[in-house]
Amino acid sequence: MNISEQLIEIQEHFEVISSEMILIIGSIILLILGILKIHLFWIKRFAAVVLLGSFLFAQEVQDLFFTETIIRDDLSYLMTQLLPLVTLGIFCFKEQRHQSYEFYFLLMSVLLGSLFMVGSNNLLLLYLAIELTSYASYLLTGFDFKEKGSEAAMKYLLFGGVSSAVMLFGISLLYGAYNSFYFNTMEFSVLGATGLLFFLSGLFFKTAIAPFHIWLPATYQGAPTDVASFFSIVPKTAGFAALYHIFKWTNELFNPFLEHLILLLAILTILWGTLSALRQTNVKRMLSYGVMAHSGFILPFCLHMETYSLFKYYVIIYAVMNILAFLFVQLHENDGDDLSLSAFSGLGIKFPFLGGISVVWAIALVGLPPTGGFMAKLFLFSTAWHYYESMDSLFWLTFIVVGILSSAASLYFYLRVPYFYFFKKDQGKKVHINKMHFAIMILLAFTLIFLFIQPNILDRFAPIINP
Amino acid sequence: MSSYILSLIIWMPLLGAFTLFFFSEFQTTGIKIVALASSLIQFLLSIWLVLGFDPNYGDHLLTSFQFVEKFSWISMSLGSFGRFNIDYHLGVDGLSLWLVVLSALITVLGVIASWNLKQQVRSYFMLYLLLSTSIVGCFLALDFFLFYLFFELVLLPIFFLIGLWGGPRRSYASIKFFIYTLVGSLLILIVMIALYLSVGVEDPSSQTIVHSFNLLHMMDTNYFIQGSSLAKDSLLRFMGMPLRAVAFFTLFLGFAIKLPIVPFHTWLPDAHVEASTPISVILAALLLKLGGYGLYRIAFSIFPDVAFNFGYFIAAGGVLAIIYGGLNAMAQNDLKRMIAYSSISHMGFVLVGLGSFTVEGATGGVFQMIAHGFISAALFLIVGVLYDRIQNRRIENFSGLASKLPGYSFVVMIVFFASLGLPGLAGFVGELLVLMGAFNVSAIDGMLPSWIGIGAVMGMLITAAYYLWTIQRMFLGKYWVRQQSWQSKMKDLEMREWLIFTPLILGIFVLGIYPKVILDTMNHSIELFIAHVGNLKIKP
Repeated sequence: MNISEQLIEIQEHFEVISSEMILIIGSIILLILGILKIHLFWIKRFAAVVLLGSFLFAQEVQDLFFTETIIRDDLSYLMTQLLPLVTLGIFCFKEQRHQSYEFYFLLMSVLLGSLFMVGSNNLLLLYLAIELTSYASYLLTGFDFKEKGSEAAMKYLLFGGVSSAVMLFGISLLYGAYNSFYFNTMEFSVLGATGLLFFLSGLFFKTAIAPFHIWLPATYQGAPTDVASFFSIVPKTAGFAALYHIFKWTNELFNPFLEHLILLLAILTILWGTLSALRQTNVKRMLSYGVMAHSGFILPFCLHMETYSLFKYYVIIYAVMNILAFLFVQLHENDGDDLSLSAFSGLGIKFPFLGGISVVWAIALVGLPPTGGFMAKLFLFSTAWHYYESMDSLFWLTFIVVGILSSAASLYFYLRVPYFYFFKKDQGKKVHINKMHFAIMILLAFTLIFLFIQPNILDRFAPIINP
Repeated sequence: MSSYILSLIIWMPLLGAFTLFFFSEFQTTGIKIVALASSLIQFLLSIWLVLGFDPNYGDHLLTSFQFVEKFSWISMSLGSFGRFNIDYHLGVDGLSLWLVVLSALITVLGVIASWNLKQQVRSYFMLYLLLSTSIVGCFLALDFFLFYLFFELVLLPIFFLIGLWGGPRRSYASIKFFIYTLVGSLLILIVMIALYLSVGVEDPSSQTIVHSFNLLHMMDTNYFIQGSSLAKDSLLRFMGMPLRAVAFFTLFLGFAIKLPIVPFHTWLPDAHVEASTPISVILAALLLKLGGYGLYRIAFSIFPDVAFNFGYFIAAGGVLAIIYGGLNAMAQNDLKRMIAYSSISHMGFVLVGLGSFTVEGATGGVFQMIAHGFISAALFLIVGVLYDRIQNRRIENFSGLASKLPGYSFVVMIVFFASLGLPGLAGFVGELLVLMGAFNVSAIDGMLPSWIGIGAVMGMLITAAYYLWTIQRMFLGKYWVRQQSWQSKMKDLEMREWLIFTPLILGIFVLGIYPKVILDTMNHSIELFIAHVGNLKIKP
């Protein structure tokens, strides 16, 4: 194929990335609007429209595009549907001091990076996408311009920089081994395995898989709560989707070594996340360790492309739970103060309904019925059992046992918010929640319950593409 | 309508709970009336269920369920893992019938017992009615998923009911209860998933295997997919044990925590003591039965081959609970704590009955559960009477109450004697049947050594000892109470309390003198249960 043919192909292929294109154009216009000092009210609405547009124009195609650099499949379709909606959900959080047009621009940049992360079939593009996400994330972390936030952003930047370097080193080794950046050209070689190991270490840094997670609690705690909620869903799930695409080609090559390694890391992540969360007194820190445990749960399934529908259910339910939990926490903050658990003491008497909502998200995150969280865990453990059964692998069994036990342990810390809400003495904290936020929380809580009663409804969301 | 009667029984209280949304927090009388009405309707429906129940229905355990309701609830595709099928599947047999009636009755009495509640009445009754729905749901579900849903749903209301309306150490007790029982139910969850993936039928149209949570399929070895992890020909081992055995023990442990079995019983004294009186009543009379029922319906019915080989072990666990619980009860100074430990001791008989694998033993186990439902409810209400008046329940603080409170003492005597197994009262029949089962089986085929029966009898002696000792210390002798200020508050039972005690005491007498009422309706089901277990008893 000569250059002009390639150019023509690229021109034709722009249609399949229309979601991303809408985001790019939209965010540039948003910057211009910002410079023109348009009121923030309108900028926010404009950003919402852009997000809706990228949701609506998600393309239902399945192939490789742009000279095989970009992959479109069920996963990328799901992500182009889900992630803009999640970002819209983040817009619904209470407006704190930090909002300005740059804030929305940065959110959309992270989203854009995440979408490219899911869609890349090429190491270089993947690296660029990850960096786009990371840079915007460093800025967002410090966006409330307080000491704590700056410290968190700095930490994040340092760790992120190191992990980028490690990842880049891995990519260079992979290029040396295969003379190509494409995933599907890999084959077994020692140099390739080494490169992959470095590359994965970098990626695990970004997705906070133990033992590469040290930056996570500090960053989530220091970041504004809506940003923390955003981090816990958008770049994270995109990272896992990217892992699916990588493992699709590498799992066969490095089996069973890779599978065992990933399962070990997953078990370590679950344990580390759960056990650390038990000791936290700060709510955001506690939730961040919970997020970490949840990533351990989904990690090993990225090895098998056929677990796509599990991933879909899990990620959607996970997104709903996390938005609700972080929104709940954010609405209890006054002017971005650092929330410790004792701030919730005794509010249950005054706001029993809010207490009820906290029970819903807490038990959903633990994975108890009647919430979608239980369904997610049920599918997850059923699939894990299936692998245990078919492979007779002790690693999978350990994963199941550890997962189940950590669910029991996680009850203890997740339930602490409702516990402080209802069982502790009132400390006279004032909470103002306007009707809109209240309605959103009720909607999300009912969604969680509805996803238990009728999980089939998720089949309609981003349906599986029939080639 | 009679085809939906089980659904009505289950959802009636929840309907009441939803109605409470329309009441303001301050319309306490209205709230209580709604709660009472919905639980009364549930009780009447359950009586109707008994009247329509055919005691000789079906000739095999799997076909012996009546009033069956079955609808497809969730059916979703999991990609290459086939379809996820969950049914809304209810049914009743002789085993569950009386447990349902018992739950409905205790729920009504619990509402009356909480009539004087003052704080947060609406939330209390909403949680209370939700609890009632989930308990009855457990007894009627024939789909493992549905059962598990109700089983877990029990935890939340209890957690709040103990934690918000309980005694001084309520938050500790409620968290401990929640964690313990959650561990139990998560153990059940693992087995449920494994069973789900092992059981299935081939869909003739699409040639794919459709898995299901149907308990009846799980009880039938024909439905197990060849080579799946829990099929009888499974080669999977866990630490050298066949996976079926591991699964049985996991289930057993899950339910045994609820029953409870020593040494997993430590949540029970805390939870029972810290809960308010009506909630202790529910805990003792109904919640423990969920564990026992789960053992009958799920652990033993699904894994009869494994269970049969471990009858000795199970019965020995029962004897341990009987004696250990009894000795602990004897050592208590707190009346409520003593009663809580006596529950552990009495539930041990259920295990002995089950472990004997005889019709007598199994019948005795179920009968013991029902009798204990009546007796323990009355016992906790007895403590409640004292505690309501003077907020104290230490045994050494009272003496000679019989002369001052004759009505109260009369009730106490009947209930205490029923609990220690006096012939003619409810407690005797169940224990007698269990002992018959245990001794029979040791005489016939030596499955259980005779010390099991002897140990259980010893346990009964211990029971008699602590009850009689308590009666002697608290009710006999010269009237005396620790503090002067209590004198004026020591009043005999009032109308409302008689209203609660009367049905319980009537039940205790009826069960003791004429147990045929219950035994006749459940006998056939128990025979089928034992036949089901017995058919598969040939060791592979």
